[in-house]
Amino acid sequence: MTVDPRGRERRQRTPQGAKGLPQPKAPTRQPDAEERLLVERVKAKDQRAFETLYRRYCSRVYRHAMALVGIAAEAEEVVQEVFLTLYEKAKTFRGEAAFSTWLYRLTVNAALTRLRRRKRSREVSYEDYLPKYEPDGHHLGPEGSVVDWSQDVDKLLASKELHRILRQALDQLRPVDKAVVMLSDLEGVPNREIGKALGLSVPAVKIRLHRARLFLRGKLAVSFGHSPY
Amino acid sequence: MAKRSIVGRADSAICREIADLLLDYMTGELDPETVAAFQEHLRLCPDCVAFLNTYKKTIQTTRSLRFEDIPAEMEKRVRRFLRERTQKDHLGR
Repeated sequence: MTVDPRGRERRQRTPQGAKGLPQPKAPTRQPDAEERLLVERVKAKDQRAFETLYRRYCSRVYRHAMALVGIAAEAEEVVQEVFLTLYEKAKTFRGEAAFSTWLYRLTVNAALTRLRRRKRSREVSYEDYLPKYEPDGHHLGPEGSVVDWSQDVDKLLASKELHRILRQALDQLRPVDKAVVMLSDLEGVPNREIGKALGLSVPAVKIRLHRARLFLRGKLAVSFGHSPY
Repeated sequence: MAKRSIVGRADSAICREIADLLLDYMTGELDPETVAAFQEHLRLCPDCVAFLNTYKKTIQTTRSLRFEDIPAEMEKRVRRFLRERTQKDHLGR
């Protein structure tokens, strides 16, 4: 038994698992030098080098595009645009960042253009789903108000319904925030690379990522019949 | 790493600060004193434990999403499109 900050005796809840979560597998990379050589050849309009890069990366670009835009026809347009841009603007790749970072940037920019064209009514206010606190700093509501529904999710982790709810919630994020979440949590891209891809500082990436995760958490809580707070 | 304000206040109502520190806590970016204060507060506050568990589960659920590889027909279609566009560009030079 322990005594909580409100002076009441409480049985301990156990934090789930270790401090962190297992990280998603980082994107596998071809040796950087080989990629740079291929890009140099594309700069010289070498078709074979261009097709090699297309074969290697088209699926990854498509998956990223689908994660962002959610519609196959639009994701196809993104793939076309990314590789055309790669071909036409290869000269702008100076090799300061990794090739994969540059590719993320092209993909995210092309996807964001399409997302921004969509009606803004899809986005909802984050505030309704972010945590709330009492004036004294405790979580809102009496002790025990924050329900640990994490075990309920385990039973449903592979279910289509859970994924449908999550995808719907992701669609309600602001486009840049959605891109940050997908790159970080789905693809395991480090914050520094996300920042380079999106033109954000690392602190800005972290703030957006955290608020987006809190929003998604709130949405999942509601889907389980609990308060979002 | 800079000291955070929860050091020495683990038994206080610092739930908002704990939530704000979640991301850095999970990526190991907090200094040892702040980590100790964070973990001490978790020992005392079941609401924050529940919040941490559900935050982690949200991330895990996002990671469980799967997106298909490019369909074979689409891959060919895009390749044809790119070939036409780039060869036109090449011949036009």
